Formats: sequence, C-alpha cells, structure tokens
Amino acid sequence: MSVFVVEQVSRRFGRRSSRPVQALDRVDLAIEAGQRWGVVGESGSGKTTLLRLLAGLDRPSAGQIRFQDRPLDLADRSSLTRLRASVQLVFQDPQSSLDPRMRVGSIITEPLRSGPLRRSGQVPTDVKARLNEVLEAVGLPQAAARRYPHEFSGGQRQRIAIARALAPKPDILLADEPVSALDVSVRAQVLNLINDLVADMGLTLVMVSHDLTVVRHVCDHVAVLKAGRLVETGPVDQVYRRPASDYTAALLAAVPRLGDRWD
Amino acid sequence: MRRLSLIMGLALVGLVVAAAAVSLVWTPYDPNLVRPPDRLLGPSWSHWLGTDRMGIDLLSRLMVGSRTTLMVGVIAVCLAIVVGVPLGLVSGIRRGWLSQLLLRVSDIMFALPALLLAILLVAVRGASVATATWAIGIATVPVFVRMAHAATLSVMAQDFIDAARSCGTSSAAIALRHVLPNIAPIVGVQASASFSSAILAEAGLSYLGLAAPATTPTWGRMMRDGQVDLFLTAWPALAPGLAIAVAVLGFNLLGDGLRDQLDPRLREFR
Amino acid sequence: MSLLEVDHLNVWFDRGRSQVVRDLSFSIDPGQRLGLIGQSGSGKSVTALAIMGLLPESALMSGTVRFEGRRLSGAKEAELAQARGRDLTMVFQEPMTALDPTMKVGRQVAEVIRLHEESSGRETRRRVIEMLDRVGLPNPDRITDAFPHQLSGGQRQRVVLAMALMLGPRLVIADEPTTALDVTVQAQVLELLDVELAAHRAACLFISHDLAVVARVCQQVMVMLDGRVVESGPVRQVLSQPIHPYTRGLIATARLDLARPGSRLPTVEDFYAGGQL
Repeated sequence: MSVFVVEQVSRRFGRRSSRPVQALDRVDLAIEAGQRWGVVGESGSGKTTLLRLLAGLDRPSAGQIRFQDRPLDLADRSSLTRLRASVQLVFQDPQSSLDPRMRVGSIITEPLRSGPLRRSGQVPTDVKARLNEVLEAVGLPQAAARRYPHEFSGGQRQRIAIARALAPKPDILLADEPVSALDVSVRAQVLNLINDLVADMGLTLVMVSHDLTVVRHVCDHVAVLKAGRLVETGPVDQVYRRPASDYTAALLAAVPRLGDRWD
Repeated sequence: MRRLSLIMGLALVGLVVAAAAVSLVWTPYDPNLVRPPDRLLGPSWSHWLGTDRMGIDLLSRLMVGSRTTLMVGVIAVCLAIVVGVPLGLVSGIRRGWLSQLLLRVSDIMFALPALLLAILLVAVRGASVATATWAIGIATVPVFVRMAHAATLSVMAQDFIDAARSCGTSSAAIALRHVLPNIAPIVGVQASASFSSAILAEAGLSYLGLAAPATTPTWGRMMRDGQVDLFLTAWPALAPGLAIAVAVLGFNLLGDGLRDQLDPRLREFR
Repeated sequence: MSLLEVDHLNVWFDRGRSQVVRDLSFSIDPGQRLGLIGQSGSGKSVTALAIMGLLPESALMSGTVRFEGRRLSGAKEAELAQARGRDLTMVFQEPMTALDPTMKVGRQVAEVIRLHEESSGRETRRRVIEMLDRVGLPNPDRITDAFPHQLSGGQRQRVVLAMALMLGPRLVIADEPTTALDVTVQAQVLELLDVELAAHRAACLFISHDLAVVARVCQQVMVMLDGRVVESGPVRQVLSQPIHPYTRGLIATARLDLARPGSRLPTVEDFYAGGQL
C-alpha cells in the first residue's frame, strides 16, 4: 500500500508581485509502507518544503498529495486527523523544537493530550505508562521527565524529540536533518537509535539530509532534489554506488572523509 | 550585576509599597491637618521632610499619595495587559486582515500621546484620578498589543510550534500552552516598565491639574502645589519629585532584573 | 620563535565554580595549521575566545597567551584591538550572526581596513571588491552593496572569510567555520580556506567537532575532552595510531562511510566510558 503519493506537486513562496521562489517544481514520488526514504539535496533544494507538505504543515501551490490512497485535504478535518494520528515529525534543531518552558514529561506526552488525536482513538490512553515506555525506548531515565530541555545536551534533546514523535505510536516518521545539528560523536548514537526504532516498530521513514552517507546508513530509497526538481530516485545502494546525475556525484564527493589524506 | 538590579529594584519598589501600606494605619501627622503656624518648615526631627504652605507634614502626605500612585499604576497596567496581550497574541497567531487592521489601529493609537487622550477624556468626564487612570490605561494598550504581537511571532517561528501543530494541537491550545508561557517574561518586563511610565504620566497629569483635585494628595499634585513656593523653599516640590524618581527607577530596575531571572536559559552559561 | 604560545591556560565560569579549560599549553608556528577537536562543551570555543581576549566578564582566566612574543593575556583593550582584525583574526561558526544585518557587506569588510590602515575611499572599495572576488563571490561589485540577508549561508561565510583574510593575518582562528553549512558548500569553503591560508602563509587554529573536516585542513591536531587536551600530534599519526580511548572512539564514529548500511555504528562510549554525552 502506498503511504504517500506525491503527484506533480509544486510549491511557490512569495507574492505574485515580487519574485516568487519556486521551492518545489512538479515533483512526483511514491512512498510505500515500510520503506525508508532519504531526501537529499543542498540547502534551498526544497527538501524541507517537501517534508512539511507531507506533514500537513503546508499545502502545495499545485499538484496533489495522496495519503493512504486518499487525497490529503488540510481543510477536511477527518482527512487531517487521519494524517496527524499516524505521522510524526523530528526536527533538525533540538534547541528550537522543544518548548523551553515545558518539562520533558509534558513535551513528550503532548501528542497524547491533543484533542483530535485522543478522539481518533488511535493513540495510547495511559499517558503515564506510555511516557515511561518511550523514555526507555530512547534510552533516557524516567527522572528526565521532570526536568527542562535546557538541562540536556544536544544529543539528549534529540532523544527527547524522538520520544515525543513515538509517543502516539505513529506508523510514519518524518525526520528533518535529525543529526546535522549534532556533534559527529553524538551522531552515531542518534542514528543507531533511529535505525533500531524504525526496525522494531516497523515504521515508514522519510528522512531529509544533506549528507548522502547518513542517508545510506538509514534508508533503503533515496530521492535527490536540486532547486526544487527531482533529479534522481532509486534504491540507495544503487544511487550511492553509481549516481546517475553529476549533481548526486558532487553531493557524494563533498562529504568529508577521514581517509581523504592518509589512506 | 543582574542580581543587583533585581535587588535594588525590589528594595525601591518595596519602599513605596511599604509606605503605602503603613499609611493605611499610621502616618506621622494627619495628612490633611492644616497648621498655619508650621507652614514651609524645612526638614527637622519633628517633620522629616518639612511642611508645605498649609503647614501639612510632607512625609505624611507623600505616604498617603503613594497609595494613589500605586493604584493608578496597577489599574492602568492591568487594563493594558488584559486588553493588549490577548489582542497581540491572536494577531500573531492568526495572520488575517483583521489582525492587520488591529495592528494598524494600535499603531495609530501608539502615535497619539497619552496627554492628548487624557485631555479629551477630561473634557468628556471631568478631571479625576479615575479619568487619568483610564486615559493612561488606554494609552498603554497598544504598547502591549505590539509587544505581544512581536513576541508571539518569534515564538511561532520555533519548531516546537510545528511539532505541536503536527500532532493536532488546536490554535487555542498552542496559544495557552506554548505561546503565553513563552511571552510571559517579556510581558512581565514590559509591565514593570509601563508601570513606571504610568507613574510618570499620572504625576504629569496631576501636575497639569488634569487628574487629582487639590483635596486628593498625589505626588504630581504635590509638585504642582509646591512649585508656588519654590523661591522660598524647594522642599514641597523636591520631596514628591524625589518620590516619583525613586518609584520610576525602582520599577525600571525591577523590570531589568526580572527579565534575566525569568528566562531559565539565561540562568546558566552555556 | 612560535607565533602563538599558550601557557598553562585555565578558564573558569560561574564565579570560579566550573572550570572549562584546564591547564592548556600549546604553540603554533608561523604558517602551521593546528586542529582542535572536541565535542560541544569540551572547552574548545572558550579556548578561542580566551586567545582573542573575548571572554565574557564573568569568566576567570589564568595562564599566559603570547602572540609574536607579545603578551596578549592581560594586555590593554586598545593593544588587543590593534592585533585583532589585522594580525590575529577570527572566523565564527554562524555567518548570520557574525555579520551586522543592518550594514552593507562592502562596508563591513571595509571597516576592517579603516580600523587598521589609512586608505582612501576609492582605494578601500577597490580592495574590498578584489577580496570578495578572491573568496569566490560572483559579481563582487554587486555583492558589496548587498545586505547580509540577501546572501546565502555559504556566501555569507565567504564574506566572513574575506574580512578575516583582508589584511593578511598571521593567524586565523576558525571556530567551526563550516558546521552551519551543507556538505557541498562546506567542501567549497574548506577548499577556499586551504588555498587562502597557503597564499598568505597564515597559521590557523581550526576548531571543529568533525575529525574529517580537521583532517582536510590541518597537519597537527589536539583532542580536547572536558577542558583538557588528552592527545595531540600530527594528524596522520593521531588518526592511524590513536592512543587515548576517547580519540579511538572519535575516529570510529567518524567513519560512517565504512559502516555497513543499517549496522550498528560504533559510538564513543564503546571505547571510552568516562565522557558523558
């Protein structure tokens, strides 16, 4: 079953009078249940815009997104609730994605206390038990629930953000550069965590990154965006080994490698 | 340094509040007792701040006056917060034409001096402390609208708002759960600053005779009455002037100190 | 003689309650490039600020910093300002906040010249445009009249580099100069830094959390952990024969390209349990 079908989707920003920015230009993409997609490209390539469209935080200027074989209509309450109940997001900057004035426990359980999700009957009702479950799943102590985000390091904050995304038992996880704000030494921990969780819970994953090696490690499929256009899609292994476009090859070559100088 | 301004602010504001509280049960002299033989005395052990042209003890009158000062400040600022913050909050969350209109109106009001508004209101309702309070309160509303609007916009740009939206949290819940707590410190700081402007405004209006009648002791009114004898003695004008300065400085320092204390992220060096 | 000498540097925050840099000593020779590696909170950025004399007032510092034999630590602000921006420059991580949003790019670069040299307006503009061209900005005469927000992140970082290199510095301190950039722009900026440092024969203290980036630019490396240097030496040697378990962990986690897709990546904790992350 297709989870998302993106059909000829475009997104322009800015008014007609000033120069509009074409963030996405007629993009087609089909994401099947259980797949792990990576969306790569430079900054400004439209990859975050695509993710926001999938998350229902923004609507396309043209084209259509189908979610679970039905058109996604943000104006339609039931369509939106269906999306919200099964799709969760992890953001790039764990500094700004956690409300500094809320305790970690309330942050993580917020999706469980949201009205539409509770009424949909698809989210766990025992909030306390679920909190402890997800804290354990991301490797944080239960005592963390009583503390504030600023008391944690960047890597731990990203764990908190992941715990929040997992709390309502989503089927689909969207991640926007989940490790690019983290130290290289912490990156490995978070990637391990994402890999384990996606496998254990059988999640569909869409992960945006500018780093193809990160995508290769986590994803099985990749879509390469350049200036809003899709330049290449396919199984990640194939794209990684034999990139069809020069742009993809340049993206790959740009990743700094330890071996560059001393091998 | 930050701690210092909070402590200084609290001390000065505390002094004014204490004076107002004590005046409810005790003042050195009857603040309305006219004693012509004691007129225009300088500071002494029996009259710490001296007396005015009617022979009334200045300290007693200042203490009673502080009640009016605080009351005007509290009511005017509360009015401005209760009206201004929700308007700014809503206009920052829902960005439609109504919000735009609201912001334009508050911009126009912002450009209108409080004094003009007060004169208009006095013309309609007559001069009184209540009229002055209304005028100051209404004139302060746009300050809070604009401040709350700008603060809301910056909170709305944070990822945690999108995170909340993506799990179906309603706009109302976002406003109450995320935006309000995050803009609260800024509102608090603004309230403290606005409080000091309200005190100044009330003093100014009283000084012009647009607020308190002669029978009501307020600091501005006392300055007005004191200036008549400025060539004989400065005390009747200087004492209320100093009191105003202390209160204004106190609330400004308190505002600065609060801003640093209320933000959990500023408490430790990262 | 060493260009920069740091001797027994200690830095405390929080009225002396927390120590962020512990007994740090190192030197940089003219033209030498030294990488300073560590995770966030290890004290590497504080070290840079201490050298530049830019520590916040609340910080306490002991030890000496000498630049070209002159003492920088404890020097008067005017003396420091003389060296800063001319012989000793800094490139910050966040190019958006390093530039004044209200000032045109050209004026900001020109400011560096005006602060340190006599130069006519016309001459200054010519030199600014030449420098912007050198750091690879397209249409440099257009860019001088642009505001920072009209440029992309990579372009802004090039402007910051232009400012740092303008007066031919002897030492450039670069604090995570490419961390906010994506991989392709990062590669371009590193290449540029490499070429320009060589052209000016400038030395560099390069601070990063990414070993691969440091290995790209530097010959020498120091590994910092909890305010202490735990290992140092030539990059090649440290990478091939790391001694400290923490360094071994860092190297293992950095080799994402060698890991089998989907396999469990080695973490620093697998090698070194002492660091809390």
